Amino acid sequence: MKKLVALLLAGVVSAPFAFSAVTAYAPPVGGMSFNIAGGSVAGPVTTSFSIPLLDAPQASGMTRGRIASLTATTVTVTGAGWTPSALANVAFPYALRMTSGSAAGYTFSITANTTDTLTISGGNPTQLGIVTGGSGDSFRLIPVDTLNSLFGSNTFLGGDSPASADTVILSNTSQLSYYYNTTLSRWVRTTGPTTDRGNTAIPLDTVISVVRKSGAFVLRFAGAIPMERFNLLVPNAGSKYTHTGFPMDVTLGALSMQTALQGWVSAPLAANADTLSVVSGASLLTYFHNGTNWQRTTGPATNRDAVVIPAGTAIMLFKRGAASGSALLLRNRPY
Amino acid sequence: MKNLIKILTIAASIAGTSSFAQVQLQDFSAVVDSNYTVFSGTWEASVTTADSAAPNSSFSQGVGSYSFAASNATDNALSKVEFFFSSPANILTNTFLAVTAQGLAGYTATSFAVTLVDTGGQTAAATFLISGFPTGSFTTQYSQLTFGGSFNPTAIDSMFITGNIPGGSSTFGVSFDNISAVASASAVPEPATYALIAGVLMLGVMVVRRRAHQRSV
Repeated sequence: MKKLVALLLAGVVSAPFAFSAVTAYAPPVGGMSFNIAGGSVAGPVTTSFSIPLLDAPQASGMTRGRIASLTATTVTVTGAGWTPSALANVAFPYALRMTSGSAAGYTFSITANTTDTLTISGGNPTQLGIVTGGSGDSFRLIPVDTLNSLFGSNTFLGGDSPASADTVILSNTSQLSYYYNTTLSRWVRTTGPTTDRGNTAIPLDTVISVVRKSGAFVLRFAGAIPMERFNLLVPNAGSKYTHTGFPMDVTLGALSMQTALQGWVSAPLAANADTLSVVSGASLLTYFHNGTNWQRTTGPATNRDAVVIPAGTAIMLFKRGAASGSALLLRNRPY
Repeated sequence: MKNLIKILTIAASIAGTSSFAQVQLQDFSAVVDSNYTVFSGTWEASVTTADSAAPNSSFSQGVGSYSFAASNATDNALSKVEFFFSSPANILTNTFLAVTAQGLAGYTATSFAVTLVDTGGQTAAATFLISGFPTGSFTTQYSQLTFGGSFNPTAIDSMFITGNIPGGSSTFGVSFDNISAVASASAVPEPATYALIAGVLMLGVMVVRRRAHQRSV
């Protein structure tokens, strides 16, 4: 699981291997820290962030390889050696990310597995131009965090009700709120039955908002930086919360969402354009592309191309209209 | 002269320890401005409109104050009013916001946030408890700004007041009189305080002059 650490290991400690004729490469490991603003029960303060870092797989069997064959819902890997169901354990879920070929960066959820076959969701791999076989496209497995694995029981202020506890909002194409119930000793939704939600997965592009009712503190995470391009499915209509793909600052101009997301609508008037919102606390600063440059949807028509979106900042994409289906957001690795 | 110094000291103590470097960001004397003010969510005239210069119809402009009071205006964090500055504002080295306001009868919301946005899109925010603004008279409360990213306090593009609760549905009801950036959470003289200081100074000068006159007779 992604490491929530008190101290960070920033960077990789590499030692020369004098006896080795083979050079091994590992993705650089880095850390991100987020200042969680302090609040109170009467005056909670919301901090939103996203973690574009990846965990190292711990499961036995092949964690990187090439795809031998696939169907609309399965991927088979020769000699994978996986433990059946180990990659679909709800307490320690995994995702499969393509690392080469036309689908590079695309990530599927793993819902079941045998020794050599993964059942996946989150897209139809037969429609992504994936090449199979001995020299086919490659993949890697990535652990997916859950509320239990990422935050445990005591990262935030728990309580016997959402009114007294910190709440954690997970935003993707929808928003769901949770808190740690100290009476029941488990994560539960802020509304509805008090079912144990500790195994709620936090997909890799999820936005996390902490509604803090106690003192400020710093959350630090360590993980590997993504080495594939950012490749994300975004609904053609409605909202999608995510991040900018990589743990680096980027300007609105350089992010170039109007070209990165297929079907993006630029327009002279905000009311007719798709929008990109930068999440600020619990609120949003919303921009649109007017055909020439980015500007705020409200206020003066100033060119906002130079606005910096810091690494780990949450964003929300809003696609107007009622078109069905989804489109790909593709962003090449900036390093 | 000694007496005058003493009187000046008294006047200074009335003013508190303020550095007098506060920067007024909004005096609420003319809130609705189609060029520079934008209402969103339940705070705008119609929640079906995607932000507009038209406020909720129950909001009202007072004399130097503005009341956000309507049964359908909530503390949802997406309900807000944003004030754009005609030229970038500079809050100098101030790190606190001072809000002068009063709670309005019937509100159930517990807090609101004030956020500054610099020209680079970075933000700094402060949260205020509505319970700190009793109904009936204006009170000034202070809250330290939390600076995000590389916020530039010398080039502030806009400021917005917002409900503070994600998905909040409690009734919002606050009348605002003033928002300023200040150096610390200490007393910032209100206009009435300045009048009091001036009065004390004038009284002091009169006393000194009378004593000087008596000595010369």
